[in-house]
Amino acid sequence: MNHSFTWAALSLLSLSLACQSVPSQQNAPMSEFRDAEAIGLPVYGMSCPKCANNITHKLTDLVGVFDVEVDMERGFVTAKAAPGFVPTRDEFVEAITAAGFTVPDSADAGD
Amino acid sequence: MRYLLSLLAALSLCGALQAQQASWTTAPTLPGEGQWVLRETATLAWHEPSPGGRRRSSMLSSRLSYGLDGERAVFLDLPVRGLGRDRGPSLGDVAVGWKWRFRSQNTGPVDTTRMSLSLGATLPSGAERGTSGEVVPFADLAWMSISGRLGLGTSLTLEGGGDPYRRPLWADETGELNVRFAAAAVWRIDPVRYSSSLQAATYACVELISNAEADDLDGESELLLAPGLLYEAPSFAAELSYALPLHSDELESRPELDGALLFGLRFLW
Repeated sequence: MNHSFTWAALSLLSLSLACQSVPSQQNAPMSEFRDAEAIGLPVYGMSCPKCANNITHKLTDLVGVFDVEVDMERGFVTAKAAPGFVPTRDEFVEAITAAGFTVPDSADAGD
Repeated sequence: MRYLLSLLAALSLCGALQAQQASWTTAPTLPGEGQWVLRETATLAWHEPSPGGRRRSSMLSSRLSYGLDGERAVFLDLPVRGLGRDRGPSLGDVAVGWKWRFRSQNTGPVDTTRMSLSLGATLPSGAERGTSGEVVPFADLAWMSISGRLGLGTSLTLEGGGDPYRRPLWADETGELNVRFAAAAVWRIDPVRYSSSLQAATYACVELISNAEADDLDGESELLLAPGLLYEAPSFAAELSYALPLHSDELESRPELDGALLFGLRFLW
């Protein structure tokens, strides 16, 4: 028990030090847009697939939205809707917030 | 002394890493507004021989969570206990609670730091040999930070403190108030980079769990190490973890744990 305890403690401390220098991913930013068929905005905090799937549920609850693309790598979400039913930016942000995520201010996107 | 060193090791792990949702460590994750998450876990544990001769126990636990809004949720825990070959399964103490994510700072596509507070109570719904016999409140403070492929989570839980179970097996069943501190490090093995559409991810996890009686520094304490795997698809997740004891001290009211295997499934809808 003494040896296993010592090795376990040393392993955890080593892992702790090793992970100090792990950088986070850098992703090419995408610009927000809204046209006659879709709206796309950057979204932050999509840390896991199951969490990000919340976004799909919330956006498809909006009237007219029939497809949602979640790009976790770049942090960008696109909602496609029937003509005349494309959500406004405010509606989009409200749905994202209700799912527990953040739409960064335009100035912050891609930082 | 070794217990304090163990805690220092756990805390140093917390300071360096960033984590996802692991098996034994509470995470400040919530279902979205109006959504449900069901987490089913089966735990099979082996214990040192005790006067009653019990060597194996099992627990099937269901947690149903419902998102009130983006930052608040309520949950219900339904445990079913099995105490060995000669005893059938029975309902344990049901728990109800409220969870509030009071801090959520999303700083990048997958980067986030979150904190939550859970408050609730276990109700004396269990069978005679598996209940505290009274309403017992609990509180849990959880922190999680994710940066790229790597994350860290910690949780501090106050639990137990009701009447002791007839044959306690776990730290929150002895009748003493238990402080559980858990730390988790989770590394995304696959994919190295996400694609432009939602896809499943696989993580390697390592957790440290410490239990200590709250009212006595020289009281019962234990430290467990739990390596595991987590597979997460957009609508469900599967987890597998094995907790093994690193250290235990002054365990008198319950048998020492030899090991515990946990398998779980989580569903989102």
